[in-house]
Amino acid sequence: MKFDGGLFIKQLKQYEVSKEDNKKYRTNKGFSKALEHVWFHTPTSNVNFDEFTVEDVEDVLGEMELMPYIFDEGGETFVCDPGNRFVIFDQLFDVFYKLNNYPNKQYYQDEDDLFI
Amino acid sequence: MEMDVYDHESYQMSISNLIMLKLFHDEGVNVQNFSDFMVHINYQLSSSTEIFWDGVRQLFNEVHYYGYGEEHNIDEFCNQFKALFDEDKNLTPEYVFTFQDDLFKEVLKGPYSAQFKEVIPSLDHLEACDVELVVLPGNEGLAFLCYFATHLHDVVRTIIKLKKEAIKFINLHEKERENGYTNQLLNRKTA
Repeated sequence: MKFDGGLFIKQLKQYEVSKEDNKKYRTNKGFSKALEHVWFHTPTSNVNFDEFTVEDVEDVLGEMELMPYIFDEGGETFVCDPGNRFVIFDQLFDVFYKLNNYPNKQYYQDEDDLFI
Repeated sequence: MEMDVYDHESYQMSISNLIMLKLFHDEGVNVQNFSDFMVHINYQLSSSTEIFWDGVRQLFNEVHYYGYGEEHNIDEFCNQFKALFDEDKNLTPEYVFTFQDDLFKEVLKGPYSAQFKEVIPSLDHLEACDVELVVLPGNEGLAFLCYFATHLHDVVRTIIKLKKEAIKFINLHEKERENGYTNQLLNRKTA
């Protein structure tokens, strides 16, 4: 198969991230760090508190408040909002597990394979 | 994905604990050895107050806790500050934190007492906790009367803000003491 590098770079242009967008992503970084600590139940001694700001954790609290989507009849359980960032984070983390345990895998790791 | 309402509530409480830890960290307290912030509302409820108590003790000098235990019973507090209960007979707090720091004593007994009392916010708007912030009789400091509190981070934020206000007023007072002459010109009350 031939690969046209020039065309590939050309088509990548539309996905380019400008500097202003970069700033936006950087502000989300603290939020996702705080969200990760909450979702994985990190012990306090392992949390680096310089990674996020107070506002970031407040946003996480707001995000958790928005979690319920539809309540069950009894009102004891609810379906989580699929657009909630906690759910998205959980699904993203699931990707690796699913890739590893996919039933129709094309390639299987042999014992001789070495990853360095 | 489904979730339990109890788990949901627990997560909110845990995030509140994380905010509390972050606030203490920003004030320069080493929080590495504090309790874990993840709690479940069916057990480990003390974690929230433990974090609050550990942090507040490092931020202020004379902090006292009165609860329903054998030591530091709430009756001690009632006997010590009878005047508070004479004013309002409906006060029946579950537990009390008193802040008798020299900082608060100095500002409350100084000339800026009235201004400082105006800055003290009422905590009625808080949804998840029912707490009251009062000045102790004889201007001996501040006290948090807690009726029920799950999200203590707003309380921590308030007390940190009040500490900064107190320092501000003390500095102002010191400046006025140095420049006594201008005080007379402006016809202001001196110390």
